[in-house]
Amino acid sequence: MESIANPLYFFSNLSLNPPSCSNVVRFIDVLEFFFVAHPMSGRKEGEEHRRVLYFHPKGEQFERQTEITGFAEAVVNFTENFLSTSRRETSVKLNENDDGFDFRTVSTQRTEHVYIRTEDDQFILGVSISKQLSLVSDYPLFQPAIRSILSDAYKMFRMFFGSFSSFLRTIPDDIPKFKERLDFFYSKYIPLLKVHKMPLLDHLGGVEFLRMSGPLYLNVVSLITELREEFPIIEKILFLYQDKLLYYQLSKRDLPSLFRYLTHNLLPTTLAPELEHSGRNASKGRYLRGPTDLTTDAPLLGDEALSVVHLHSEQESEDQMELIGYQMMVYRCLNATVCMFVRNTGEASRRSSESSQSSSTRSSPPQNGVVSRRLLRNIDHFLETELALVASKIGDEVGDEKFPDATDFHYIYFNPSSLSMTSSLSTSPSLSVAASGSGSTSKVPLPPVDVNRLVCDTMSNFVSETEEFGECFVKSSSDWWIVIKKVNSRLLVLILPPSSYTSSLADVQSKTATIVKSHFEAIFFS
Amino acid sequence: MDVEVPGGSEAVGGGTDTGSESSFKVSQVEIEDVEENLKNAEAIFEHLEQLPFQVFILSEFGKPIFVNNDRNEGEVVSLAALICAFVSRCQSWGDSLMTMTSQDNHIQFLHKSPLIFCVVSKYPEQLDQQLEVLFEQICSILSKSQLESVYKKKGDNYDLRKLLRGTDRLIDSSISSWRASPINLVDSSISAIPMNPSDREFLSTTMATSLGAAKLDGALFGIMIAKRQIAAIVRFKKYIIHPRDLNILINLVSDTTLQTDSQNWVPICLPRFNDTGFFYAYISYPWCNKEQDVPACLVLLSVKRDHFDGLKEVRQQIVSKLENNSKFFVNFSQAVKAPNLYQISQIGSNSESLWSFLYLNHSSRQVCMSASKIPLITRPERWTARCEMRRSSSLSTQHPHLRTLFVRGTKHCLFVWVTDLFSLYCIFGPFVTATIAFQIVEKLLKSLKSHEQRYFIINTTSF
Repeated sequence: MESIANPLYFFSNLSLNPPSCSNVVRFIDVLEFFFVAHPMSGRKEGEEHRRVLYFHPKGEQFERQTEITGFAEAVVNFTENFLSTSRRETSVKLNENDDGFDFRTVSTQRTEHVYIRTEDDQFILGVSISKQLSLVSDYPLFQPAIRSILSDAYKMFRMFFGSFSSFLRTIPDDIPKFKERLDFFYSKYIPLLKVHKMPLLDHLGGVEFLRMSGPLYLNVVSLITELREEFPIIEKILFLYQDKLLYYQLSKRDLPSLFRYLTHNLLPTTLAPELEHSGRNASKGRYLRGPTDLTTDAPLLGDEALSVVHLHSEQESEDQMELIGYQMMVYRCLNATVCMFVRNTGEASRRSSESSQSSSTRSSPPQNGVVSRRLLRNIDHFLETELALVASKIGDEVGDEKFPDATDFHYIYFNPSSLSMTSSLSTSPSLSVAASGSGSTSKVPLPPVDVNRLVCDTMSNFVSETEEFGECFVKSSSDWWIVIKKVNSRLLVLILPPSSYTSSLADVQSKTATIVKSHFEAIFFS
Repeated sequence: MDVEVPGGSEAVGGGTDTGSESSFKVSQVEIEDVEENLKNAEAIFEHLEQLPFQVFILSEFGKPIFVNNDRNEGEVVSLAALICAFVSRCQSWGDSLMTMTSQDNHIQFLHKSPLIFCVVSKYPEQLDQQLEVLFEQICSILSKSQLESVYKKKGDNYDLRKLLRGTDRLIDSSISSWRASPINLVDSSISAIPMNPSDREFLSTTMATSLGAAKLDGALFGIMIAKRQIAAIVRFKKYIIHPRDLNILINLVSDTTLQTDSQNWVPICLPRFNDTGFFYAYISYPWCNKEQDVPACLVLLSVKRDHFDGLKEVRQQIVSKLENNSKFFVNFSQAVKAPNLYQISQIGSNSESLWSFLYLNHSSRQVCMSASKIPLITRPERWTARCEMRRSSSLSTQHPHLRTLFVRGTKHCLFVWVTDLFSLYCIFGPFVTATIAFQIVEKLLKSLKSHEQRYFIINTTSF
C-alpha cells in the first residue's frame, strides 16, 4: 500500500494481549469510538457526513458516524454559550499555546467522551470510552488522561505528516489524500496503543531520564558538541541509552511524542536482530533507518529514503505553530542511540515528506532532502569510535550501579520543567526488560483500581496545578496510603501498600521522609 | 508540643481568641444577603458573571419552565431546545446524558420525565444531587403524580409555568441555598439550633403534648424552625420525615412573604414521604413583627385539609405554654435570635490552629458547623473554606473507601476523617502538623460528644 520508507512501517506489532496482572491496558479494549472531523466540510445540508475524516471502528454505519460527530460539534457550540468574557480570552490563549487544546467532555451513563479542537478550531478529534469495558479491564476512567491520550494521538500524526490544515491548504481536493493518510496512520496507531492502569502517567506524559554521574554526562555533552561542530547541518539531536533519555536539543513540545515513538516503536523492532547477532560486531554502530549500503553514492530513494518528522522550530515563543520537516537519522551502538535531525530544505515540508514516503519517481535526487550517503558515511565514521567509547563507559556505570533493593512501595516522580518522569507503575517496553534485566522492580502488588482512581481524583481536586508546593495524605479503607508531595513544582506520588508500619498519619509521614531520603534525595529536595 | 502559629502577632490574636470571636460574630446562614451589593448595573453584571449556578428547567418537549439568569427570552428558548435535543439524542442511543464540561464550566443534566433539569456551574461537585433536590422542590408544589399527568391531559405544548406561578422564588431560594451550603450533603441533612438540653426537652414535650391532646387524626408532625435550622421536631408514633423533605419545608418557611404574624395554610407534597399526596402545613411565626421579634417558625403538618382550626388551636396552646415559662422563653428567644454556635475555643488548648470544622453524623443525618472565626471571616474566606469542604465531601462520596485525607496547602490545611459513624471536615492553619491536627480532632470529638444534646437533636419525641 505505502512505501516501506514510511516511518509507520516500524509501528511494530510486538504487543500481544497484556496479561491481566500487567499495568497497561490495550486502548482498543476500552474504546467505543475515535474520530477526526472537519466541521466546515459538513456545512451543506445533506452532506453532513463529509465532515467525518476518520472514524474508528471502521464498520460503523455512516449515519451513526455523522450523528456522533454532529453531536460533538453541537456540544462544542453549546458550551460556548456559557463562557464568560474573561474565559473567552483565556480560551483564545489556549489555542495559541499549541499544547493546551480546547476541550469538551461528555459523560453519559455508559460512556465518557472527550473532544479536542485543534488548529484554530478547524478540526475536532473525539474519543469515547465505554464505562462497562473499562470496568472489566480494571482501567480507571480519568478524564484528563483521556484528554492527553487524544492530544498525543494528534501530535503523533502531526509529527509524521505535518499539520492537518497543511492538507487542506494546497489543493481543495486534497481531502481524499488526507483521509487516506489519517486512515493509514490511525488504523495502525489505535490498535497498538496501550494505556496505563495508572492514568496519571498518561496524563503527565513525561520521559524517563537515565541517572548518571557528572563526569560521564560531560562525556556525552562533549561528544554531542563535537558532533555538531563537525556536522553543523545537524540542527536537533537526541541521545538515548537503552530506553532512557540522556540528552536532548529540541523543543520540549516534541520530546514526549518523539521519545515515545523511539522507545515504544522504533527501538523495540531493532532489538531482536541485535540479540541474534550478539557477539558478532557487537560494538559496531549502525543506522536504524535508511540505507544499509553506505559505500556507493546512489541517491536515497524508496526503501532507503530517510523518514521525515515535523518538529517545532527552536524559537518557540515567536513562531508558535511553525512546524518544519526534518530528516531523521537514528544511529545506534552498544545500547546508545543518537537521533540526528537535518532540516529538510527545498520543498514545502509536507510535499517532501510525501515524496519520501511514497516511493516516488522523482527525477532529481537532491529534492529528496539533503542527507546523502556521503553524509551518513561521514557521520558513521565519526560516531563509530566516539560513540562506542562513550556507550561502553555508560554501560559500565549503569552495570555497576547497585539498584537499591526492590522497593516496598510504588511511586511516580515528575518534574514538569525537564519532563523527567520515573515510576514503578510505568510500562517497561520489552527493550529494557531484555537489556537491563533487573531494573528497579517493585515487590509490592499493583495497587487496586480503586486506589489508582483515588490517586487521580485526589490529584485533580487537591493538588493545584498552579501552586508549586503542596502535600497530601490519603488513606483508603483497604489501608493503602497515598502520599502526594509537590516541591518546587516537582511531583512525587507514593502509593504505600497496607502494612503495620503505616497505621497512623504520623507513621506515614515519617515513612515518607525515609523514602524521600533514601530514594529521591538527589532529585527531590525537601 | 506547641502548635506552630503563623507569625508572632497572630499568636497574640490566638490568645485573645474569645474576645475577637464575639466582635466577629457571623451567622453561618446567609441566604438573605446573597443579593446584597447589587447597587449598580456593573455590579449586577459582575454578579451574573459569578453566578455559581445557572439553572434551566424545561419540559421534555423543549419548553422552558424556569431559568435563574437574565438571558433574553429568545436565547432561553434556543438553549432549551438544544438541551432537549442533547438529552433525546442520548436517549435514542439507549443511553442517558449526565454531564458536559469545558475549560471550567460543568454542566449537569437530569431527565425526570416529563421534566429536564440542567445546571451550569463552575463547581463540579454533586450537581446531580442538586438537580434531584430541584426536582423534589417542584414535586413539593405539584406532587409527582400531578406532574406526570398534566402533560397527558393538557398536551405536549402545555406551559407548566401556569401551574407553578408564584413559586419561582422557592426554586430560586433553593438554588441560593446551595451556595451557602458548605457541603452538598447539607441538602440531605439538617442542623439543629444549639439549645440548652432542658430547654429543648421542654419545647419538644410541650409541642408533643399539645398535639397529642388535640387528638387530630392525621396530624403527623410538629417542627420548630429558625434560621434554617431545627429547634425541635415531634412526630406521631413512628412516622419519620426525611431530611430532604425537611429542607423543602425549611425553604418554604424561609420565604419572606410568608413571614407575617398571620397564619398560613399551605398544601405541600413531601416527595420522600409520599410523592403522590399532599400535606397541609399550618405555618405561623408566633413572635414575628411583635416587640419580641423572635424569628422562630412553628410548622404543624397534617394530611387532612380540614384541620386548619384544630391546628390553630394547638398552636395557641403551644405558644401560651412556652410564653408562660418565662425562664425558658428568655433562653429560647436568645438561642433563636443569636444562635450560640459551637466555638472552636471550647476545645481548649491548641485550638487556635483549627480554623473551621463541619461534623456530619451519619445515622441522624445532622450536621454541626463551627462558628466562623479568624481568619475565615469575610465572605470570600468563608467561601474558600466551604469549597474545600465541598470538594472533600464530594471526593468521599465518589470514593466510599476514603478514610483519611490530609492536605497541606500554602494557605491552609485540610483534614478529613470518615468513619461509619461520622464524617468530619476540618480546616487548619497552614503550619499544623498531622500529629497535632489529629490530637485536636480527638479533643474536638470528645467535646462534641459531651455537648451532644446541645448541638444535636438526639431523640425525636413522639405523641
